[in-house]
Amino acid sequence: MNRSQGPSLRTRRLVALPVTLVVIAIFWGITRWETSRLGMPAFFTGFTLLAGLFLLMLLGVRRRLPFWPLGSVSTWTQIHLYVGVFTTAIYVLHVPALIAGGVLEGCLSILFLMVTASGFYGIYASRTLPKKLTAVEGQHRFDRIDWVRNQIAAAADKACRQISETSAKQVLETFYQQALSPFFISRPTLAYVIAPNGNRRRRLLGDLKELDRYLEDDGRRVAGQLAALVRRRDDLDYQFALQLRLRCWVVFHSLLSLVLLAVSLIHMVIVLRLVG
Amino acid sequence: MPAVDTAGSTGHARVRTWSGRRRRWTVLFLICVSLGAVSMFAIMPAEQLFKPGELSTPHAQILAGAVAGEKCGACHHQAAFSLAAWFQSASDSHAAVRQSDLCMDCHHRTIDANLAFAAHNLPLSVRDQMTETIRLASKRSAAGSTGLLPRLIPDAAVDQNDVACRTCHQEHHGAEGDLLSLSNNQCQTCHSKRFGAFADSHPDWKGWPYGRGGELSFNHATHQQTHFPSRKSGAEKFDCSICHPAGPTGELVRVASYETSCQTCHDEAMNVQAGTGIDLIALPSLPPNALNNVSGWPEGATGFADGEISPLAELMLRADPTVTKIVRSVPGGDVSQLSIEDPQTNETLARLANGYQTLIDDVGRRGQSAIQERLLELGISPGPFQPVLRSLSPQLIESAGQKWFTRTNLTGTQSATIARPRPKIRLVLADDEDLLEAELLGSSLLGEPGDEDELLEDPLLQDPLVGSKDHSSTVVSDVPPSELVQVGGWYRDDQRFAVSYRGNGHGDPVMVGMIETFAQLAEHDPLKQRFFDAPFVAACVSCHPGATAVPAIWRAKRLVGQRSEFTKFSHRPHLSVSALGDCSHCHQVRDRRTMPDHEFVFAGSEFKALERESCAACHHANAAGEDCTQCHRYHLSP
Repeated sequence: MNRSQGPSLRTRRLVALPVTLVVIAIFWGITRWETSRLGMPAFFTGFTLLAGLFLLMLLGVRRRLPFWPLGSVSTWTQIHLYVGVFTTAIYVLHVPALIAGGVLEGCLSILFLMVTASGFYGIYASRTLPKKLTAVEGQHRFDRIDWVRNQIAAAADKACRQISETSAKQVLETFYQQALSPFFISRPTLAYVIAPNGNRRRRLLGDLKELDRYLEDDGRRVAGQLAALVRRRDDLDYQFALQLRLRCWVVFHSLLSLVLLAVSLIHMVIVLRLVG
Repeated sequence: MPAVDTAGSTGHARVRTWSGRRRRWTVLFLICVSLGAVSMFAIMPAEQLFKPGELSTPHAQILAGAVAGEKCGACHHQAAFSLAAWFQSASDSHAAVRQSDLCMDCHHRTIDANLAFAAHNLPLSVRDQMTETIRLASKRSAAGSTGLLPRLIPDAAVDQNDVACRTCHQEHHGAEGDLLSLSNNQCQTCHSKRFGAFADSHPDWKGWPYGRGGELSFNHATHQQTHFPSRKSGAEKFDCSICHPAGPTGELVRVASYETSCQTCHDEAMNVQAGTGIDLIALPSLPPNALNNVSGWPEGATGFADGEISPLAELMLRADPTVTKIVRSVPGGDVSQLSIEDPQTNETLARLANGYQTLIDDVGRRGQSAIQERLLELGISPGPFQPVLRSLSPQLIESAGQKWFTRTNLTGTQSATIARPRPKIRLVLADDEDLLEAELLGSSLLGEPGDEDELLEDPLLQDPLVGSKDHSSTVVSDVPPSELVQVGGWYRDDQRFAVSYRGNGHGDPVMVGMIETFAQLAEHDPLKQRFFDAPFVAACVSCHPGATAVPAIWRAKRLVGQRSEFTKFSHRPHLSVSALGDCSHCHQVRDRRTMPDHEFVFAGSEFKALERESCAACHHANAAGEDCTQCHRYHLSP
């Protein structure tokens, strides 16, 4: 354990997960207790859920207040994660069916389940995507990726123009115009953004390798530069796809959470109004 | 909007940062959500939008025809969804109305509104009493320890004197939602004595299911072990299903009809016991000394003081203030019990004779109203007596008076014949020669049968509308008067100076009317006792002890579906188990032949006790279940 960085993820998980499970068990017991004594357990679990939602929303507030000494975002994220697990369990205790029957309640159920599902995806993504991002070469800011992409395209164009050999120039220029230029100029396809893979990269590098037999030393040098640029561009696209996925998930999760909180408040007001 | 210059790009285009794009998407998304919400409000009625789920089938069916607002308002008085209405609840006229009150708008027919919110719909005092009973039963019970878990059941979160309907009945869980679903813990949370598993810790029930009825008297032991074996040499078996057949729903009938189950053996005996019937009036024999001041008392009823004042006659005479003390002073209604040495006896008997004459006159003159007024005078409702009145012709009483009493020295009370309002045709005749002149009153002309008076020979008097004047048929029938009404009815017995009723088998409405009338007398009234001891009445009440109650109970009440008992039971689901098709599997009659009489009497029931273990064989968590609500009902009503 590194004291300066706090406890490790494994240690935190070993402590936080049992604590969360114990708290869930306590709340389950209280709900059973309240049910047995003909109380109103739905009020208990409902207000707990609402409190949980507010607590979960505080992570977004903390992110927007970086200058206040409110603890690290990492700690807040951990709290957010386990409160999310706890809130999901309380939801199961609260509802008679996973998706309620009424229109408003049905929408509320679906919203909660979508936010919960996206939250659990977030856990998965936050554990896997950073590893994938660091596995590829280079660290790019998301907002500069377009600029870098243009830089790579310009470098490829420039490299292509450096060929002096006549035969190589003809071969490489033809290949560049037909295959490489569209690859460098265009943004990655939606299919690639959704499910990034190395097919393009392998195909282009394979084709470049096939051209070696038509090239002399100078031509092979340029072909090697182009192959390096293909690799850089593919890594960039891979980073773009993964970063975009993370960012879209955050937007989706936070926007739905906002709507969920609003509908939950409406639900609470109606219940308090109509309870006999 | 922040943007960066993309130096190095081919077109030098300005592109948005991610933050900018996210903000734009956020705004767009929230606008879409808001529009969607507004659209839903506009398209869908608020009631439908806010409904938290479908109603259970019974409630949904009831509210199917109501418009949307009324549907919610039927159960939620706060169901006003206009924005203004949400801020008016504190001061509106329905502020004190609770949801449970609205439930009672429909359910007041089955639940007493005054006790609707009390636990089990019982007052606190009754609940306390029952709690003590259960506590004592648990102490006596052979059941083992209740275990730890039942002790951990928390105390109720509700005030047991104000239990809202929704405490147990949760709505809006869909058509399949069970409004009656309650766990054993939920049932027991209000109870001070708690149980665990049915087989281990439920208290024994003492006599259940026996001894709950009492409307019909039937001894299973004597019938099974004595009467059936001795009849036709035991050819006819004692079969439970004869008296308790399965009804159309499959549920066992509590008791089959008399014709199905009893008539074969009991009809003849009952007719013998009923004998010649019941006397309305039977003149006692009175000594001549007592009749010095009594006019017209029949010679046939003159002699030693003898005879009994029939219960019906005593009832009527009690309403006459001049004789009410007299009839009460006659021991057992038997005039022979009066001491002849007592100087007051003659006076007593004379007034009794006058009372009889007045009664006959009164009924003959005013008919049914005279009897009804006498009953009302005694504080008895004449309603049950109506079948008697409907069948009894006042002319029969009048004719008896005319037949029995001679009117030569009538003083005091008016003769029935004279006092009776004449039919119109008679009055028309009287216009020419008023036959009601004072000098004619008291003459024997009108009261003497067979008189040669010209008036009686008037052919107009033979008109049946005038009334039956000629009761002096010289043809004397040798058939006993009671035999003249073999299928039942009223008859006059001139030998006994009696007007009597002979019943017509089981369920005779006149007998029912008489019994229900006498049942209204005070419990220790000797007249009531004398009436119910009479053989013709005993023939009824020996099997129908409930008939002596007010209101009278003649038929065995159907217990399935009754809401007056905590424990409910239906044979129907049990009979699907083949072993339970044999009634004796659960209901075993004690053997009188091997059991000393005193033990049999003190056993309390002719059946052996139904043991808890016999139920627990099937009723456990893994088989037929052991929920409290399977055998016990919450809502009780008288």
